[in-house]
Amino acid sequence: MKWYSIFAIVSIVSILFFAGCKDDNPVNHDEDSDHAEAAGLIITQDGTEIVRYEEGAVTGNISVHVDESTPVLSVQFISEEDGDLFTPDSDHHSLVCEVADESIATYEKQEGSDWSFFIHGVAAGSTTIEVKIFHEGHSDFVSLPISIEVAQ
Amino acid sequence: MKTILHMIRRMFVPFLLFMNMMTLYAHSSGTGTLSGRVLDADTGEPVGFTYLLIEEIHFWQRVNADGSFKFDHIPAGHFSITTHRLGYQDQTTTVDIGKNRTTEKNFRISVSPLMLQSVAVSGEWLQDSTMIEPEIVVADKKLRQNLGMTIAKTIENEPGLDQISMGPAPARPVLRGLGGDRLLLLEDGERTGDLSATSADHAVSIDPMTTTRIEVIRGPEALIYGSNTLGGVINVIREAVPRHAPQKRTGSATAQGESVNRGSSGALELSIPAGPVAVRGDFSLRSAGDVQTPAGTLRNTNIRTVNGSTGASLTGHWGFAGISGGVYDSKYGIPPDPIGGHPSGGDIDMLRQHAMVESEFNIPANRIRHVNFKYQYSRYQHQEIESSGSIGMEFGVVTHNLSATLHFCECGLLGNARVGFWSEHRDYASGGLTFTPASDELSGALFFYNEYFLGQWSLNASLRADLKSVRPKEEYLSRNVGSIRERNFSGLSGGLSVNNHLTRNLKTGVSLLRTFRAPGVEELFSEGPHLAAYSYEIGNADLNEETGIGLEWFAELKLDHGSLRASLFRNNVQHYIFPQNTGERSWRRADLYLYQYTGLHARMDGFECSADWMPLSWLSLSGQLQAVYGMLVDKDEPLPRMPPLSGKVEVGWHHGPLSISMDAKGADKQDRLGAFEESTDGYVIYGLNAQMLISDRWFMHTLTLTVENITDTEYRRHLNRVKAIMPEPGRNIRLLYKIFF
Repeated sequence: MKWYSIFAIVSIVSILFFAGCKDDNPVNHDEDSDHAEAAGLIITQDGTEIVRYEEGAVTGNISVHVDESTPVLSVQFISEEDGDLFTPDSDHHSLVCEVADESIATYEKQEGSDWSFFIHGVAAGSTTIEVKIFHEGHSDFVSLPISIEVAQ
Repeated sequence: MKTILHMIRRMFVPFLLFMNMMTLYAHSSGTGTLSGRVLDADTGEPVGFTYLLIEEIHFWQRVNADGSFKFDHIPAGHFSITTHRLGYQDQTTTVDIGKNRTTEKNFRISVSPLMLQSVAVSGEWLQDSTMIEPEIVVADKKLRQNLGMTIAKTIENEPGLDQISMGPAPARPVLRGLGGDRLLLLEDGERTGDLSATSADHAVSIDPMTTTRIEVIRGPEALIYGSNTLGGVINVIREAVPRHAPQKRTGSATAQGESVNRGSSGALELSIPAGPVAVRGDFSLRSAGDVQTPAGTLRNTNIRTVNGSTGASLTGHWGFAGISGGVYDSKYGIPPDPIGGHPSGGDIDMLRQHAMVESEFNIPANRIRHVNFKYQYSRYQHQEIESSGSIGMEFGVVTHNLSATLHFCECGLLGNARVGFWSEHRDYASGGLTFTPASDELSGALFFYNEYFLGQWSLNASLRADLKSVRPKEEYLSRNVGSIRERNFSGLSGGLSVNNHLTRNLKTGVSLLRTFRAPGVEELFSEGPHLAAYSYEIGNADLNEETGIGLEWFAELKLDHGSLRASLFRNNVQHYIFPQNTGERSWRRADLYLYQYTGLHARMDGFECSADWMPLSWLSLSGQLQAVYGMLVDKDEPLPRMPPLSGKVEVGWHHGPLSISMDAKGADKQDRLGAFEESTDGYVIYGLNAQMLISDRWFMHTLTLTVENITDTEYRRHLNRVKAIMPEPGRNIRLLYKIFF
């Protein structure tokens, strides 16, 4: 094969390669994501707000007696965009809570409600709970530790 | 504006192809031919498979098995030619190439043990050299000994170098404490277009398996490649666009295996001549499992990489014009961090498609040697995949680079002089759990570089002017970042280096460098949790440009059986931009600390010294020691992520084609800590290396056995972002076989 044939073939292949090079960015920034955009939360007990985590600070705590459970505690999140309260889409998000010391208190999710839970007192003392919105393998939102006080 | 850019980009490729085709008709009488043989200095026997490199124009060739070679179409002039051959001393000789004639030159090279230094002990410097050589070169034998999974791992044993890593796959070199965007990592002289400079979890999209040579360039010459090169430039040379047609079909095949991660890799590289057309291709595969450490398995550190490229050039007495294209596809794991919010770790899937058009015309003018045009396209996509299989974050960057450089002949005050322009358009977008706006970056620069030799003095100087515009595709006010808006930057950079050969054996010099670095879109506008980096990153829309002043003094002594080099340096950087741990937690992700980009006055002082000594023909000794101390001057506190004092000693035994060496390398503890940084203990680890060379009429075989961390010591490196989770790899046995044909 003559050299100019080879060069022509390589040039054509290269031009096709360049022509195939997409100029658009492979990532579309405008695509809507279904990440929960929460920047805070409130926990209510019997319709009364007992804990608020907002602007990086926690006010209030969860109280319970040993061998007793709290009434249903409901969580609502504060939107980062407008400050409104919301609960995330349960199809893609779930509530996960982690108690730091389970010898003091334990956590139990309320059946039939995706965003409510109970705290059960195990022994007198103090511990904390972190509230998370879990979304496909990672946490979209994690609260600061919220105090739990367990009394006799 | 966008439409104009689009038109320029669309018109540019056909324009360059047209330029390349036009070269078919270009003619020049300003070139000559160099031919001859490479011979053993003692026996006069031919030495095949020797690399010959014409330094000034970066032409290289592997000579035939009978030692013969022929370079066509070399511009007339005075050149430095370096020989590299395993088992022989590296040697640099100057040659004058005349117009329209063939210069015959035989190179007689001396047998040397399989020393690992790329520039062998030669006793004195070449007195009539016409160029300043790169400071560090990692090629052939040294490249094979240190060939690791990443470029950073491959060159980490060089003076002043370290690596910042996050597991074995994502690793990037650090030179004198400077990394990221301050130490440019180039492939064939151009930026890679990946995001490795922006975060520790982003890997470099270059596989060292198909690399021919790695050069570290510091000082004024580094400014040719970028204004932000206070650390220097690492140029990985593959020559994807061939610069000349080989005399015959040549190539190499490589196979490597290692025990610490049950890794295996292989590569094939081929260069084929077809008349005046040179065709080159390379292909490599890499696969490795989780890394074993003395404390257990570092989970999710596996890697799979496929890398390949092809290129072709038309060559002639007028120069060359060529094109190349390639793909780098890699999937690797980020180890899990239960504390950092990634209990199962994550996987990164990255893909880079790249293409380059390059042409170089020899100009038949007295003062001009040639002009070089280069265009590179890169399309990079990077997805961070959660353990559930969903995409947590993704990045996309489309980059266009265009440059033109005019090279002058040695005449009057001009020596290896270059003047040119460079430009870049970068389209950046991110998706997933991130709030960084999509943005365009436009950059342009004009530069000049010159070297001048006068008796025992040599001088090199550079000057560069840069413009950069960062344009977010939407403008808004962010509570954390500030006003997201168009930002424009401009600045001058320059360098001057003066060297003096005090005697034929002793050289000393000083170098002064001023650099300019404009912040990028990530530093200005990023916002969101970067789960793979265990941080919540916040840009700073009001950042100013970074300016640095670098001052270095060095002295180098070369004797018949040894060499010694020492250097002292100070880098002073105003508005040193880095993500500073604020100590505050994110409201959205209270488990992650906020890292906000900040510009502060930083200073880095340090030293390096290295020595080689060959007391007997079969025994070699070498060692090096280096340290850098970083300070945040404004806060009077240590700069974070600074490597500790480190060093290495090596003893080698050499006999014919066999060489065995043992080394000990270590680092002091690092307790000079930045805010919220953890200390790291010191360590010493031991290694063993054996290399063997067998050559016949047709092939040259090399076999390299390396044992790292022989004693399976548990140690941690300060610049490893996952050091708290797991120590460095344990004992590793690596076997490399490479055949040249």
